[in-house]
Amino acid sequence: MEWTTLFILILSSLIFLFFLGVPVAFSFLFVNLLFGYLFWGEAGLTQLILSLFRSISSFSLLPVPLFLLMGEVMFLFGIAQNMMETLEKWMGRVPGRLSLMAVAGGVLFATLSGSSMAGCAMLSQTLLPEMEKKGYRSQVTLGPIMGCGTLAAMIPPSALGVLLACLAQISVGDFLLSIIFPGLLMAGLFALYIIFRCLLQPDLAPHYEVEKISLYEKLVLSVKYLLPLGLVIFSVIGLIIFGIATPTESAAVGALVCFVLAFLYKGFRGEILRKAILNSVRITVMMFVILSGATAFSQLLAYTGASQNLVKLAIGLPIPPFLILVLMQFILILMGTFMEPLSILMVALPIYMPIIRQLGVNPLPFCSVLLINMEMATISPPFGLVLYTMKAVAPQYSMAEIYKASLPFLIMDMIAMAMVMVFPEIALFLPSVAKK
Amino acid sequence: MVDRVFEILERIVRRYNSALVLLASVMMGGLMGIVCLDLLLRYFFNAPLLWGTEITEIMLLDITFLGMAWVFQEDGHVVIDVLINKVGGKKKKVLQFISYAVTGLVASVLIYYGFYTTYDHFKRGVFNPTIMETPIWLIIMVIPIGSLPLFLEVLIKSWRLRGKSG
Repeated sequence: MEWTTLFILILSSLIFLFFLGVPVAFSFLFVNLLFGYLFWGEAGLTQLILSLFRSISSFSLLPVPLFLLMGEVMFLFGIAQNMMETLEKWMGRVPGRLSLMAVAGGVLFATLSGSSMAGCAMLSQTLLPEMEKKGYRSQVTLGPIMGCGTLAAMIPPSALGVLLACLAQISVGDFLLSIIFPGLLMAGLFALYIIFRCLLQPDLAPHYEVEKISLYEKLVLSVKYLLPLGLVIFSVIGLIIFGIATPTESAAVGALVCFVLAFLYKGFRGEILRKAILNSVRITVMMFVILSGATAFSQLLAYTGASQNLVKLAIGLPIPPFLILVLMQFILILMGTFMEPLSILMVALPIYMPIIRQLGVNPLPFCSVLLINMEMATISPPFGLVLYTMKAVAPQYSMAEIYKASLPFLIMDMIAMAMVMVFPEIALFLPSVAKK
Repeated sequence: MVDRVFEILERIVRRYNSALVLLASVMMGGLMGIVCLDLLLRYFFNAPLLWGTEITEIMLLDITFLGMAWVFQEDGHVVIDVLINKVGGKKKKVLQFISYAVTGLVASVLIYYGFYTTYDHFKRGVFNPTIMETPIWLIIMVIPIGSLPLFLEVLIKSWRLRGKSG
């Protein structure tokens, strides 16, 4: 059979199962075992068992559960909420003050957790009631909360970043460093948008008198709630930059520091601890069962000749390589409107990475852009996961309002993607510093 | 009679899943402990744990398969619900049944070929080419062990579907 027929058959069966509502993980496994059996008979099924083991038992995947654990501990113990309150004391009288708080809080939360949904939930819980009380309109409340929630996966700890690096077979440490500046760039663009929008339409975010607090009080609160978080940031990012620890080790130290901080702030709370561990087990299992089919799926595509021929096809296209990259990202944007990030990565990366390597493109900036794209998928209508998180925590808003509020932030994400594509140094700077 | 059998089966599977998840949770804490201890010993005493990396890698596989059925039980696996949310009544039931059938089929292959591959590797005495030389059968055994409650959970959910009004 022609490779194109096989390729279309594999991909369409997968997408068909997705749409039937079969869990993504079992759709991948089913396609793997079906085509594995058709290609190699019973040996294919034995091979599948071994490839499940090889896909998951990897040292580079270890930061994923540890990062998830960190995020859950910080979120459930309410440490992020204390951080937000302290941060608010420092914010002066600026246009769209509380919306800008979402940006600052989003960036700080991103250094503690990698979950966009938790980011959105935390920002909603801490900011939305106050925003509503002060008369902020949905354009400058929901949008910034959702947009800034997605920063969580852009700044380490980022479980999705680790998974992307593993699937793309690039250095996890380098990749975690390379996404920091693109993440900050997104935050900068969000902040600029909020300021301009509030300057142009001041009625969206009415000014209000900010409660005066003495410098001493601010400093005490900061030493209590912000400074210790520096320790977490150092454990995760600092240890990698200074070459003291691998990403896995820095994740473990980060998680340990989070536990210590949580116990110091709130004391030992068994029920919350149990919930934090169970939540992280749940998300780890959910992600890893999807990932378990990764090796087998790549082998299937390689066996059919699809990987090799798609590379030839892409290189033979009469358009410049840059446009090929844009086209690849564009396809992912479309997929992002109805699929969640990990499933997109599992389908796309085995096809994309050989093309990237053959085109001679540096995979670090390309994958950073891809991660922004994936975060965009979580807030792109109609099926973005963060949109539904927003609806769950703020049911008083209609889905139409939530969709509308997300649009400007999607545009900011696209601008960030374009900037990293045109100036790859944004992504390459920190990994190069670490190498020195 | 059949209902009674399924009720008992459900109780047994839930307990089995709870035990597996407890084990997975302990391993989650263990991951953090082992990696930190390894870093500490390496950095300050220049004596890393030689078994640290391999054990933590194996734990990743264990956590995944020990928790797989429990996550299914809690409907925690990612589903693209574009279509399934648009339909109702009988059509929804049919879609759910197809979903369970596919999952059940995957689970049964993982159980059968999981045990078969485990036994085959045990018989041939194949081991991981690492310092610990862990036998492969000991590592992959968790795949059929974790897939068994998944299969049973699929049966329970399909039985429950029968009674649902869509």
